[in-house]
Amino acid sequence: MVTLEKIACLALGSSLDSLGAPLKAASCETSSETGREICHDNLSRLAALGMGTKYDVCASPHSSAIPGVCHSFTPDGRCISLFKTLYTNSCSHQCNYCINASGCRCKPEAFSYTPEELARLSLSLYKSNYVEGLFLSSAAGRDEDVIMEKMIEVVQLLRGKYQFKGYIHLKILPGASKGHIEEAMALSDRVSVNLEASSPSRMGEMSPSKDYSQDILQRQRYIRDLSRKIDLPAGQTTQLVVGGSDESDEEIFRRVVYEYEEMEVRRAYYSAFNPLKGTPFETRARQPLWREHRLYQIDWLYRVYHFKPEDICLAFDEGGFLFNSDPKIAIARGTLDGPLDLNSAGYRDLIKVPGIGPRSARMILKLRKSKKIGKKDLHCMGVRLRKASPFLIINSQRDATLDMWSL
Amino acid sequence: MSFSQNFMHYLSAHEGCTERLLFKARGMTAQDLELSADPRLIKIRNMAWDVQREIYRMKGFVRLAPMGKAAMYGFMKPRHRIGMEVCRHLAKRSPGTLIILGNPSESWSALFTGKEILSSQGESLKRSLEDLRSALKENGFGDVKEDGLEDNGSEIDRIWEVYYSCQFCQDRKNPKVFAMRMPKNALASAGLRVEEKAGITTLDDFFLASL
Repeated sequence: MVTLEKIACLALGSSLDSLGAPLKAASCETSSETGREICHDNLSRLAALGMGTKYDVCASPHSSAIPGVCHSFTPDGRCISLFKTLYTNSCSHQCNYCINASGCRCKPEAFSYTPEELARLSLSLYKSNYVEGLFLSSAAGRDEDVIMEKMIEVVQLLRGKYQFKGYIHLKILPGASKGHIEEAMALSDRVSVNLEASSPSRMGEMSPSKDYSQDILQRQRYIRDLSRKIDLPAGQTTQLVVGGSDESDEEIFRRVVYEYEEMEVRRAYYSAFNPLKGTPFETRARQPLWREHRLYQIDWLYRVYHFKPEDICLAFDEGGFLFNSDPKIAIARGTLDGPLDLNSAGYRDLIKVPGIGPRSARMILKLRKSKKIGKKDLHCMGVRLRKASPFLIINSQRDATLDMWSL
Repeated sequence: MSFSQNFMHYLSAHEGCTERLLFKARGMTAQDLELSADPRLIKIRNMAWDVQREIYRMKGFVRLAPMGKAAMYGFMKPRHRIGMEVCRHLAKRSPGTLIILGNPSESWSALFTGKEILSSQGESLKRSLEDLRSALKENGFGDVKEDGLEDNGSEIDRIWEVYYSCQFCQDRKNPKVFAMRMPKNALASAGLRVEEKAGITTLDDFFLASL
């Protein structure tokens, strides 16, 4: 421990400013000046452009350099770890579900930041520990290349002028040039292109002005190929609108499997369709949130549990939709021949049991080397017994199930 | 939550940890604690988890306001003895900036020089800030109070309030999950004002009030 006085003098005598930038370069942006600028910042613009990203989903930042931190949660329970904003909400695309689209009757007033303003605003929120970084998306404006350039300029200012070490997730606009993608990747931790729809025909219905294979899939291929030579710590991700064009869950799942295998995306995010007033899709039915939740569950089973797609497909009904129940139960019923003996089953079978995940399966394997496992042990490991016990034989005993009575 | 190999460190920071408990836990491994069904070991495990949880939350929830060119301060009143750890984390996040955290009874200061972290512990936050002001004045760095920088903190708070409101989807409102992820004691420990009103105010309220 040293005295506060000594530390304070060291801080003021330091050649670094609060973000590690050389004082010379940042001299015109002293805290007080930044503060004054924030005072005059247009709060309506902040709200309008922030609101434009509220349906965009991103996980808390997690890369090798920055562990995931949630700085807040909205009243809907979603984590806020990044300053999510649009660069502009002016758009020339005709997406039938989007309030910023050119065909929308209730289009909000058009706003836009300048790169310098947005860089400073992000920096202020980061410095005050409100966020861990920036999630920058945008509407396409009149020309997506111009907007993409501006977005890259924001990131260049942050990384260069302000020596920003936080996390940056940059959206790649559909149709962005390969050169811009390369620049964006060199500066960001994560980039993403939103798929929105599960196929070209679904995209045609939702957003007729976008070319699915050229504007979206081709950009994802660029990112995949470029990431072999450019370090992109958190990889690329994508997002889909669930139920925007009557597509089934199976269609979405098959597209996402393609994305994981062919495009090497790290994660797919889902957003249940919500009809917005003034858009051509305003009369369409709102999709239940549980649909989004069930898709996340099968996504998890595929990505983390490494279930085979053909096994996961057992959770779909004849129309290709998921039921509003844990899909793992349907998969377990379809893939397990009978209840498993807890003290002899292998890892691959154990993780098929509802209530047992990879972590608890590994713990079971470890613990049973030293003793026979009982229900109490399972409970201590965090296994959800109510879900798991119908699929298990524990010390030669099996819990009664309704199936037994009907047999 | 995965169990840390460093559980002794977390256990010792728990508000209810005693020498006797530490002695008991000394011979154990993280694996013993994780797999055990023994109620005494479960208690130790839960205590270490409690501390880990609070550290995680405070690292994210504590807000900082600028004070002069090279210092930032914030309120934090944790339940466990984690003040210094959180302060050092925030200092490392902003090299060259002195970070002061505290409450009416204690405070912590840390500075990451780019190579090492210097830290100090003191009395109340108010006292530490006063000490800092007078130390800077004595050493010829001027009076930071005159910069009026503390107002800047509330400006950022105002920006945050607008931003926070605009991220909320009414149709997804879920007070149960919100309360689980932002429990009242964590809100109080970090002194979060905006989130305390979560779900009560809307963007409309904010703009109507400012007219």
